[in-house]
Amino acid sequence: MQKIRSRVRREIAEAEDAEHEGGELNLVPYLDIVVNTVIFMLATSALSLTLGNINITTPRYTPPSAGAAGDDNQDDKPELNLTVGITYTGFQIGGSTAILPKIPCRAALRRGRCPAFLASRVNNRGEKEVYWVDKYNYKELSRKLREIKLFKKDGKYQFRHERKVILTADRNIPYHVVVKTMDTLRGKATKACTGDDNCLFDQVILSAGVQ
Amino acid sequence: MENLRLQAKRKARQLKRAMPEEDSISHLNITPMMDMMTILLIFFLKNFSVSEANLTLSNDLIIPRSSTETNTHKAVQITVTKKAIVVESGDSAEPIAAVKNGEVDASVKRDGQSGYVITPLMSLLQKHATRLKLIEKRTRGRMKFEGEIVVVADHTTPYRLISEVLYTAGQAEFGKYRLMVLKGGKAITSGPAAKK
Repeated sequence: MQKIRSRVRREIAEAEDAEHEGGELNLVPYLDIVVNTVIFMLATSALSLTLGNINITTPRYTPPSAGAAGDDNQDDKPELNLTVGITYTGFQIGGSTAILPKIPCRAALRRGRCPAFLASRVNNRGEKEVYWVDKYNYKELSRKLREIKLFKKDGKYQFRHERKVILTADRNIPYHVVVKTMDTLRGKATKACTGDDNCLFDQVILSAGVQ
Repeated sequence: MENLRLQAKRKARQLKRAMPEEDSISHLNITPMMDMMTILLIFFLKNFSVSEANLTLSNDLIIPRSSTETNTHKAVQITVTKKAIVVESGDSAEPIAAVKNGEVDASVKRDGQSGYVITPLMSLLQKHATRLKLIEKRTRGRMKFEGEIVVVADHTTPYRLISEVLYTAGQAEFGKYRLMVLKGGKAITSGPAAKK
């Protein structure tokens, strides 16, 4: 019995010695701080909204020289000069060679205009919320633009590398519709179009409205 | 009887041995968890610094949603709310003109009702352009003046007011516009190629 007790004591002493020699840091306070910070950051980042940008330019008033024209138009392919107009009654697409028939609204006109306004309703939790009634036919616009992008003549793509589009809108078209149209013009959501992916026309040139 | 007791004792001893020692429970290995936490912390810190733009949204300023993936950029910022146009640069924010029913008053426009140039906005932006050009000169081109402007506008703003603001900015040598939007809109696409 005595033997066992002394051995146990010796072992405990040895273990304690080993711990001292290892010099282990007390990480618990540090961990407390880190855990708190992580939780704080998680909570705040869930609340904050991520912001993005849409880059646009204005038309150049001087004709670009051959060198400055960029990589879009290397050979004898015709310039597209694609123009999309947001009118009160629908989308109007035009190019250097043709003007397509107007893409009408998805619903009946209201006071001669395509419905695009902010409405409010009470949701099932009894809160008032606003939402957009927007009857512009973005799907059809997207389809037409894709058709233009993939247009072939003599077995060759004509406008495959075209990225520019001129956007105009009527006076009272809400900003929301303009942004949504730009989204449609861009097609697939990417940072920059390379010309070969599903992107349509991402270089938006804003022009003055049709009066 | 004695035999049974012995057997029970042996069994108890066996069970005791099978149980993990108390010592090992009291000493959890927290190093992997700490690694993870530190990585998370650094990730969040980095994420925080990415979104440079600071924006307060209210009922008068709700920016539209978009499917864009381009990140925000710091530049002179023009905010168009339902009630006013404000220009912000750095820490300063200066109100420019009141907005009523999506229009600025004709008196602040250079050419009256049908005009495009908003005079106070123009003069302030010209000041900013001069300042930024001076910075470019003093830093020998390291901080280039690129004529970038960030436009933050309420989603109900009529196109006319947006184009007036952009036209004015263009007149004051700001020719690259960035429209600030909320990320997370759905991309509107059609055709089979876009489905993936």
